[in-house]
Amino acid sequence: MITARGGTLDGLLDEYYTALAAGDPARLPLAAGVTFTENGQRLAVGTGLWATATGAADSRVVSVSEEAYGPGGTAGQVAGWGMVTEGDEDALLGVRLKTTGKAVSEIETLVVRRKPFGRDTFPPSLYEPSPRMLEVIEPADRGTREDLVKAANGYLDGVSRDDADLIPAADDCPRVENGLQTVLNPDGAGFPEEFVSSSSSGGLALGVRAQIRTLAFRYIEDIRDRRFVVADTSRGLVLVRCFFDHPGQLRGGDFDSPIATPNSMLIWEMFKVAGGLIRRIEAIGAAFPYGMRAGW
Amino acid sequence: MVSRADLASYADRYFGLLPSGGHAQLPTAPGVVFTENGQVLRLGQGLWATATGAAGTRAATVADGDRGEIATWGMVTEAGRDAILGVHLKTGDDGLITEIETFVVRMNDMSSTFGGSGLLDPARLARPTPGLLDLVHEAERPGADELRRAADGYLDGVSSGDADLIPVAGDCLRFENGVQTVLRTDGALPGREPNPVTMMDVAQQVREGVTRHIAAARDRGMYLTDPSRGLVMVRFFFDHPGRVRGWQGRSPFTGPNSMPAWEVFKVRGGLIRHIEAIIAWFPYGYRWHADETHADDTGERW
Repeated sequence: MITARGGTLDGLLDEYYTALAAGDPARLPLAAGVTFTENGQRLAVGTGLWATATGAADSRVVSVSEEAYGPGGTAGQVAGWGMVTEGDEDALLGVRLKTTGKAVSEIETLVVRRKPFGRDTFPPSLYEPSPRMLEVIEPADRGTREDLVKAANGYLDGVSRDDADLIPAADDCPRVENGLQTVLNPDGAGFPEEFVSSSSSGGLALGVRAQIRTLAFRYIEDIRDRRFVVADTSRGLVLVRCFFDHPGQLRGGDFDSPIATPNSMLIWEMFKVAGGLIRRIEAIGAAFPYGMRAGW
Repeated sequence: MVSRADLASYADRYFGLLPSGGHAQLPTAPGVVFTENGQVLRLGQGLWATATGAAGTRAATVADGDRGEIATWGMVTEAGRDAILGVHLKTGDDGLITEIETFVVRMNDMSSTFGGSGLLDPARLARPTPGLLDLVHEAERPGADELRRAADGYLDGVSSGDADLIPVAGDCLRFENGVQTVLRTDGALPGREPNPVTMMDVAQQVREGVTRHIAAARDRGMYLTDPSRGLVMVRFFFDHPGRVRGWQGRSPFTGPNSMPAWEVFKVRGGLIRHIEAIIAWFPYGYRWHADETHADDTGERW
C-alpha cells in the first residue's frame, strides 16, 4: 500500500506518533480542512494530547490499513494503538487516519489515561507489537470484508444480548483489553488481586463464549454507534469503533452491576478472523459520560 | 407563564420523584427534551434509573420568573454513593416543562477522572446555603444586566488571570462542590497538604496565578437571574490544556480536561459577595447538547 508520499499507510501511522512526540503536526501531510477528535471531542490539531505529549513508543501494539479507489481518487485508512508519554505519565493512544488523495483528512484518537483494572502501571504488553494480529492468513481461510464485519457484529450482538450462540469465536480465542488477557487467564495474570476476587472479572478462566453464558455481561445495555473503520482481508482483521452503554446499578435491578453509575465506554476492538471464526480479539477503551457520541 | 412559586415546586417535585423513578408524574410538555451531562437521553434513563435517594433541601437555587426557568442543585444517592444533581427546568407558555437539563457530579466514577481526589462536602450541599436566598435591599439590588456582567467579569478574570476584571468583595466566600476554596483559616483543603493560597481571597488567588492553568471559561449559558435576591447562575466549561510542552506555568493536571461548572453569584452593591459552584471533570473540549447523531454503519467500505 503506497501513499502519495511513497510510504505505506502503516508508516504514516508511525509518523503520526513521531510527530506527536515532537509536538509538531506540520510534519504530517494534513489536508486544509482536516477533522480531528480526541475522546469524541472535535479539537483543533495541535491541542489536546498534541500539546502535552512528550514521547511515543517505537512500535504500535496493532495496526491495520486499507485502501479504496473511487471517483475522488485513492482513499486510505490506517488505525492502531500504542503507548505515549504525557508529562511524566504514560498513556495508551489509539489513532485512526484517513487519507484522501495525498493528504490526511481525518484524525480520530482515543486516549486512555487511566491505568486499567486498578493497576499502578500500563501492562507491559502494550509497549510491543502483538505478532499474532499481524500474521497473514492462508488464502483458503480468508473471508470477504463483509464476512469480517459479520463476525465482528456477531460478537457485539452476542455480548450485548447475552447470547453466546451469536458469537463465531473459536474456543481458544484470546481477548486482550487495555493490555491484559480477559479470557482463558485462569491465574489472572496481570490483574491486581483485588480485581480477580471481584465480580467484575467475569470469570477470567473462561473463554469468550463461556463467559457470556454465565451472564457476566448483563450490565452492558447496548453496543451502539458501531463503525467498521478499517479491514484487511489478507490478515483477517477488522476494526470496529463503538460505545458500550452501561446504565449502572439500576434501582430494583435483579443483579449486581460491576459498574455502579452510568457511563458509556468508547471501545476500539480489533478482530482477527480466519476460517469463519474469530481467533483473537484486541481492544482498548475508556469510560465517558453516559450517552456520549463519537464526534463523527 | 408559571410563577416563581410554581417553579420552586417543580424543582421540589423533581427531586421528590427521582428516588422512585416517577418521571412520568412530572408536568412535562409533549416532546420534552432531557439531557444528562450534555447528552440527550430518554426521560427515565441515566440518574432516573439509578437514584435511590435525594435530599429534601438543596444548596442553591435561582428561579428566573421572567423566563419561566429554574436551576437548582442538591445531593442525591446513586448505587450507595453520594452525587450532586443540578437540574435546570424550562417551562413553556402553558406552564409545562419543555426542557430538563441535568448535571450529575459523580465522585470516584469511572468516567469522571476525579479518581477519589475530588473535593465534596455532601452535608453542606444537603441543606440551603445560609443567606444565599436572602432578599437584597432595593438600594443595593442589581439589575439583570449587571448580574450578567458580574458573572462574566468573574469568568473573564479567572480565565485571563486579570483580577481587575472581577467585581468581587474582599470577604467573598467561594464554595466548590460544597468545599470552601478561598479565605480558609486552616490553610488547607480537606485531606490535602497545607497550601497558603487557600487562605487568599478570590482576587488575590487570581493575582497570584492560581488560576493560570485555566485557558478559557467557554460556552457560557443559562444566565438565570433573580435581581430581588441578587443572584445569577451561569453554566460553562473551564478548559484546562494540562502540562503543555514548553509552558513554564504550573498546572495541577497532567493531561488536558474540561470541567463543566454551574456557578451562582450573589451580587449586592455592585460586588460579588458569595459564590457557589458545582464542578465535574470531563474530556477536553466537551460540550453540552452534542448534536451528532447516533448511528451504526452498515459495514460498507467508506
